[in-house]
Amino acid sequence: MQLRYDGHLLESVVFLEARRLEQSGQAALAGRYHAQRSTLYELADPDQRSDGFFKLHVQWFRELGLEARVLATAKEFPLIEERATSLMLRKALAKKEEGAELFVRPGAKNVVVALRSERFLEDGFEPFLRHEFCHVADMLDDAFGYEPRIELAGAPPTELALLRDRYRVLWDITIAGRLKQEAERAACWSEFTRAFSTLPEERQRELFDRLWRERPAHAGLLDIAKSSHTRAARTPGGACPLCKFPTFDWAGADGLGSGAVAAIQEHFPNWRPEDGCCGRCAELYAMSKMAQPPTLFV
Amino acid sequence: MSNVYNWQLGRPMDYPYDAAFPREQFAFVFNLNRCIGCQSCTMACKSTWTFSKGQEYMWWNNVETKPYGGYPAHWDVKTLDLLEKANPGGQSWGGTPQNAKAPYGQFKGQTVFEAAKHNVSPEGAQKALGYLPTDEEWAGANRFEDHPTGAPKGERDRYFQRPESLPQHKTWFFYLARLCNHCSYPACLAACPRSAIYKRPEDGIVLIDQERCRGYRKCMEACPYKKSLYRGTTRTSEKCVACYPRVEGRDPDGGGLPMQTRCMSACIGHIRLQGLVELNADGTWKENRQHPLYYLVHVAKVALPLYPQFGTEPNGYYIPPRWVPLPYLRQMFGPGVDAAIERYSVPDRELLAVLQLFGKDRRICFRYEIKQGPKVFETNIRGKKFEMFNDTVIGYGRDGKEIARIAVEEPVHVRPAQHANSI
Amino acid sequence: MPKHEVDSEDPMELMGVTLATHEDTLTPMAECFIEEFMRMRFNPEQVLELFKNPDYIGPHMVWEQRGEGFVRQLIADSFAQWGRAANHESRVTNNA
Repeated sequence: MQLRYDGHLLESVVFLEARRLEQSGQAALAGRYHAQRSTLYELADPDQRSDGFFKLHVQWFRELGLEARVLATAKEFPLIEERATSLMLRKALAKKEEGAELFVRPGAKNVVVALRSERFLEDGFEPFLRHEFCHVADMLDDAFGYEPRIELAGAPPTELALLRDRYRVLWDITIAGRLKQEAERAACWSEFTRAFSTLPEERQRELFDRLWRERPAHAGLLDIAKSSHTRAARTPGGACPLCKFPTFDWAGADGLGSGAVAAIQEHFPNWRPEDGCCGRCAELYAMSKMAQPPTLFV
Repeated sequence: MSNVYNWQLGRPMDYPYDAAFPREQFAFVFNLNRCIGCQSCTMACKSTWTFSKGQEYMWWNNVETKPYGGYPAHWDVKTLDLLEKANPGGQSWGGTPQNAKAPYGQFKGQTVFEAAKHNVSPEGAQKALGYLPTDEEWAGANRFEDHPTGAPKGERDRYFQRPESLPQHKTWFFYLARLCNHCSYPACLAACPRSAIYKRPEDGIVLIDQERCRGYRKCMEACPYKKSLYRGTTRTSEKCVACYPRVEGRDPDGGGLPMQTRCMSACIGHIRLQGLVELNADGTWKENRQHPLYYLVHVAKVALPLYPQFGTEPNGYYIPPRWVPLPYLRQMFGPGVDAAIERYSVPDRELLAVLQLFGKDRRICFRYEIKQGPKVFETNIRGKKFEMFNDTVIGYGRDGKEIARIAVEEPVHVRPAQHANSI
Repeated sequence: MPKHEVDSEDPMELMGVTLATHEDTLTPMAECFIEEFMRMRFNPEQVLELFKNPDYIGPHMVWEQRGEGFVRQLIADSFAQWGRAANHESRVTNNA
């Protein structure tokens, strides 16, 4: 497995670590780093200079033991070592950008881990990395059966996002449970109850404990996410599931004739009368059954 | 450490270098009562100076929605917190306001330079008490701000098209426009291990020598206003250059006369007035009764320095917003706030005229005169007699020639519809 | 891996901020804006339009929370207090 680095990440991590060492009394080491770094500013050619900075920071990333920490954690996951073509560390600017991704193309499986520079100086660095590597290991594991695309036929983007969010919450729980990251348990539970707030508490506890103990594969997780999937309530100003425009004029199941329901389900097989639709769509579909051919294009 | 005099604190203070003052000092006054947070200044600066690779998150000028916004996030709260921890309960003002040497009384607490002396690490004491903001704090210039661009959940390619879809304020707020204060005692300059930062003797503009800078980022850590920023592509720190070619009079538009910076000139709210002020040997402002900035800072005393307690003697002054709770404003602008708001709320004859100079010409005004006009109105406001005169204020450029002439009751000319956008 | 959780640490996240203050400064803020624009020679109707504009967040908040009647009265009071109500229109010229 090839190890690759984003130069900006290495530069800021090494800079922050040197600063920390300086403040904790290892001024000589930090001084040596700055002295070596300073000489590179003399290189007139910008490409040569950039190359020089990159090489210097790779060297310091190793010397300060930072690379060893990443590799030691990666080694805990033999599947990554065996199957990934490369592992790249890139810079994330915000916590939300952090995480691991697997990019698959013919003949190559590249792992990219995005990390904030400050992450390397925090106590939870290894546990975070371990958690992300575990996601990657699952994605590389045939038994897990990971599929990158999560689809829900006919669902609008917001509902799909909700499903993905639930899937992610479930997957995170199984990983934290598998890695025995007890410190994460409370956060996982909080995320879980938020994402599955419609379930009764007893069912929530039972499901959570099972996820923490067991190791469902991709399809199993997706089934749980889908089975608990409840459609968004027909809130005033909410999006009509058919035309996606916000509406205050909801047409309920009782307001739709059987002809209109059938016409809607021709276009939206997953739609159920209780999902409702806006008055305008209700009228259009009712009309479409009266006049052939249908005049609505979706 | 040298002992220098800081007139904004009304007392001497410690500073790593000897005092040295420019022939003239770049300074500005912002009227926060008028700022509408349109970010025209921000974009004028961005499109002039920071549009290149590596400057994506770099805003030399920014406007933040106070009290919750800030760029970098929480910059002022964090520095105030460091000072409070260094000197618990001691960051207070006392004494009585005097002349131009102590117009706000005396600051009894510790400045960033004084508090740093106790912050000793193995490599020695810090030059100025400070902290290094994280990438995340720099990256979210819109955080907590009005008019942010964000996409609804799950629809990353869509952005809010209309600001009314944003959460509404539930409390008081105001917009604080900021740039480098080109301080008289710059903390960035004091902290630089390479002596790459200098203050120009001709106009007091603080610049970073890009040839000398080696990206130690000590300036970013030391500047309490966080107006020094790191650029990853050049691996040097950069900051506001006060549009120095314009201030030098080298912009062809100015006809050889010093011009106000891009951010000042672009302000559609006419909240900004920038100038060059002369200094005495001790760094206090030389009395110049007919200079608009001298008048606003030292005569009318409506314009106050931003966080003077930091001790860097910033050269940016603000007319505080009238509606904001006073304790907050006292913390931000010092003890001169009460009187400043009182004077601004019921402006006298001269103040009404001088305020008309804001945003009227791009050339720097060095002197003003008031041509008296007729009394147009008389009343009592909060028990005080108020008279309004339709005076005319006349501004003069460096060469002594007139650059602006505006009446207090300046007539409005509405551009005809067919020429509405024909500038 | 899809991520759409609300993250209070995320600088790009839109969120409300709780402040330990109960001070209601809507009226003095509105008065200030009215006076500033009055001095820039806006007439009462033009000032009212600013309050109705949802893009101008401060004044619009007053218009929404207190209603148009309140804003109209405040504008009338402010213009009268500073002696501007009667003579304003006559000073506005139109080049058309």
